[in-house]
Amino acid sequence: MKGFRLLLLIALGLAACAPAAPPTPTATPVPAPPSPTPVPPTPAPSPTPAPRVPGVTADTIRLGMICALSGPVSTIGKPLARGMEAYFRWINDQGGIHGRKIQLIIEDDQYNPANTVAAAKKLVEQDEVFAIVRPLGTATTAAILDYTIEKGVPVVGVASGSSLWSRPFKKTVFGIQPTYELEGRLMARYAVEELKAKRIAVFYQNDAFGKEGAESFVAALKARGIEPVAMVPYETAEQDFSAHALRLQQANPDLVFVYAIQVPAASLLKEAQKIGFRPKWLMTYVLADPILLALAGDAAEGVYAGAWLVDPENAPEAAKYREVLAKYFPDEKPGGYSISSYAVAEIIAEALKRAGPDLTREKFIAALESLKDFTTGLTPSFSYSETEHQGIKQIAIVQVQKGRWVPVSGFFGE
Amino acid sequence: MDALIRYLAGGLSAGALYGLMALGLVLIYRASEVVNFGHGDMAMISTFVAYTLLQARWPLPIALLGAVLFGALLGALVEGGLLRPARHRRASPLTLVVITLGLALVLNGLAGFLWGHEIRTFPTLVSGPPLALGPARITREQTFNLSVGIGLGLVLYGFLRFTWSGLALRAVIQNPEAARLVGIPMDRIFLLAWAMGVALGAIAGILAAPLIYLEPNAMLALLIKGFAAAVLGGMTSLPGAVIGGWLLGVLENLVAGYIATELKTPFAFALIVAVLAVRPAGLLGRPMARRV
Repeated sequence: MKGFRLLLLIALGLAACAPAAPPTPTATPVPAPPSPTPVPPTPAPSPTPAPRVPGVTADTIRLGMICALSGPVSTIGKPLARGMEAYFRWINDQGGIHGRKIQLIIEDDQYNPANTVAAAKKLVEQDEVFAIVRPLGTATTAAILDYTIEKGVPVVGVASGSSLWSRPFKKTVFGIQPTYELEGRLMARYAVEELKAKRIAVFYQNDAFGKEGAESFVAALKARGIEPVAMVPYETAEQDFSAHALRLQQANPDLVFVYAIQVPAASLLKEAQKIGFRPKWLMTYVLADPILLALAGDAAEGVYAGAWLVDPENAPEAAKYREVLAKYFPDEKPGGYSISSYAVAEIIAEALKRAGPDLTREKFIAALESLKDFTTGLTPSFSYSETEHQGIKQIAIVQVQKGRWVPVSGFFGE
Repeated sequence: MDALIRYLAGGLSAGALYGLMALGLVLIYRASEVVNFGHGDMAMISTFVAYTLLQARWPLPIALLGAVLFGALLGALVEGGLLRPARHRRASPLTLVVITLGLALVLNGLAGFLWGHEIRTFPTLVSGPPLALGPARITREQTFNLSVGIGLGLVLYGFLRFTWSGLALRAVIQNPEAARLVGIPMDRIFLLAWAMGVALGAIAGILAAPLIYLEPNAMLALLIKGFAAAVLGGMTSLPGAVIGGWLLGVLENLVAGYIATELKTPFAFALIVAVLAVRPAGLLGRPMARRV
C-alpha cells in the first residue's frame, strides 16, 4: 500500500511538472465535488429520490483521461490531451451539456502500464469520474480493462487500434479508430491494387501493436497470392536502424509496409535515404502526423500513410477544429493526434446530449449505441450497436508532398 | 560480400560510440574505483548543451567544443564537489557508486524540466553521398564516427604515454598506493580522469544524437551498451574498452543482418555472457585480485 501511494505521489508530481497540460484543466472553475469526506460507494437508503451517479452533479460531469504527458510517448500524449481539452473548454463556454459543464481530469502515465493502473484507480476511487475517455496505448489500456469493467466505468474512444477493445464484446468499452487488423487488410489491398506493388517487405514493431497490423497485412497479401520478400521486426528499445534499412534493401522490395511508432519509422527513413534505398513506403495511420515530418525531414517525402480522420490542416470540415484549437492552445499546431481526440470529444458530447438530463452510465452507453451512420464531419460515418463497439471501419490514404500530408484517396472500407 | 562489408561498417561505426562510452567509464573506474552510473545522463545533458548552443546560432564546431568542455567541467565538478568530500569522510566505494546513481536520476529529471520530454532532432554532423569501399558503399556518418572513435583513442594513448599528467594517471591506475607514496597528487589525478571520462561520454552522446534523436532518456541504451563493451573488454583495460565496443557493434549488426533483426541486442548480449563465463576478467582485462 505504501508503495502504491508512493507511486501515486510520483505520478501526481510528474503530472504537475508537465508544463503544457495541468492535471485538472477546466475552462471554468468548477465547485469541488460534493463530498468533503469519502462517500461509501453504494448509496445508503435515504429520502432523496435518484441514486447518486459517480462523477455527475447538478452542474458538472467529471471525465478522466489517461495518457503520456512526459516520457518518449508524450509527443503523442500531449496533442491528444489538448485536442480533447480544447473541445470540452469550447463546449463549456457554450454553456455545457444539459446545463452541466465537463470537467476533464488528465493523468500522466508515461506510457507505463503500472502507472496507468494507479491513474485509473485514482480517477475511479478518488475523483469518482463518470467515464474514462481516450486512454492512450494498447498495453497501458489493456492493464486497466478488467478493473474498469468490474467497476462499471465506461471507457470510450481508446487511442489504440488493438482489436482487444471490441473483441470479445465488452458492454462498457468503446473502440473508435479502425483496428490494426482491419487497417492491415485495407493497406494490403491498396498496396497491390492502387500502388501496383509486386515485391513487398514489412518493417514492424515486435509487440502486440506491430504484430496485429503486420500479420493481418501479410495474411491479406497471401490471399492475393503474394509472399512478402522480407519481414524485418525491431525491438521497442532499438535505436540504431542501419542494419534494418540494409536488410530491407537487400530484399529489393518495391514497397515497404511500416507498422511502427515515430522514432523508429523516422530513423528507418533517414537510414534508407543515407544508403540510397528508395522504395514506396506505406505506413500505418499511427504515423500520419506532422511529427513524423519533423523527425524525418525530407527523408519522409513521398511516404504514404493511412488516415481515419479528415486532413487536420486543410479540410474545410476541420475549420471549426482549427479555430477551437487555436483559441485554447495557440501554440499547438493542427495535427493527426489532436484532431483524433477532438473528434472523440465531439462523439462523447453527442452521446451525453442524447442521454438526456437525467444522466446515468447506462443511459450514456445506450446513447453511444444509438449512434448510427454517425459523423461530426471529422471522421467517416460509423455505427455502434448493442452488440458491437468497434467504431470506424474505413481509412483514407494520405501522402507526404512537399513536406505536408496531402489526401490522395477518399475513405474506403471492406 | 557487398552486404557483409556494409554490415561490418555499420557495426564498427555504432561500436565506436559504444567504445567511447566504455573508454570514459573505464578511465573513471580505473582511476577512482567508481562505476559511474551517471555517465549516460551526463552525456545526455552535455548533448542538450550542444543543442541549446546550436539553437542560439553558435557555429557548429564551437557549439560542439563548448558542449564537450561542459562535459569535462561537469565531470570535474562531480568528482571535486561530491565524490571527493564523501571520500575524505571515508565513504565506501558502494556509497560513491550510489551517489552517481542518484546523480543520474537528478540530471534526468533536470533535463526533463529544462528542455521538456519532446523528441528533438539533432543536426547531422556530416552529410553527402556514401563513399565507395570496393563493391560496398558506406555512409559518411559511419566513416566519420569510426574515425572520431579511432582518433580519440589515439589521442588518449598519446596523452597517457607522453605527458606528465598522463604518466601520473597511468601510475594511479596501475598502483594507487605506490603512486600516493611517490607524491602524485591523487585528488588532481581523479579530477583529470573524471573530466576526461565525462568529456568522452559527451562526444559519444553528440555523435549518437543525430541518429537516435534527443530527449532525456535517449542515452540509456548507449550507456548499457557502453557498459557491456567495457565489461567485455575487461573493465580495467582502455584498449579493451575500444575493442569491446567494436566487437559488440559488429556482433549486433551481423546478428541483425544474417540471423534476425529482433535478436540484434539479445543475441549480442547472450554472447557477452558466454564470453564472461569463460573469461570473467573480460577479453583484455586482468584479474582484479590485487585491488582490494
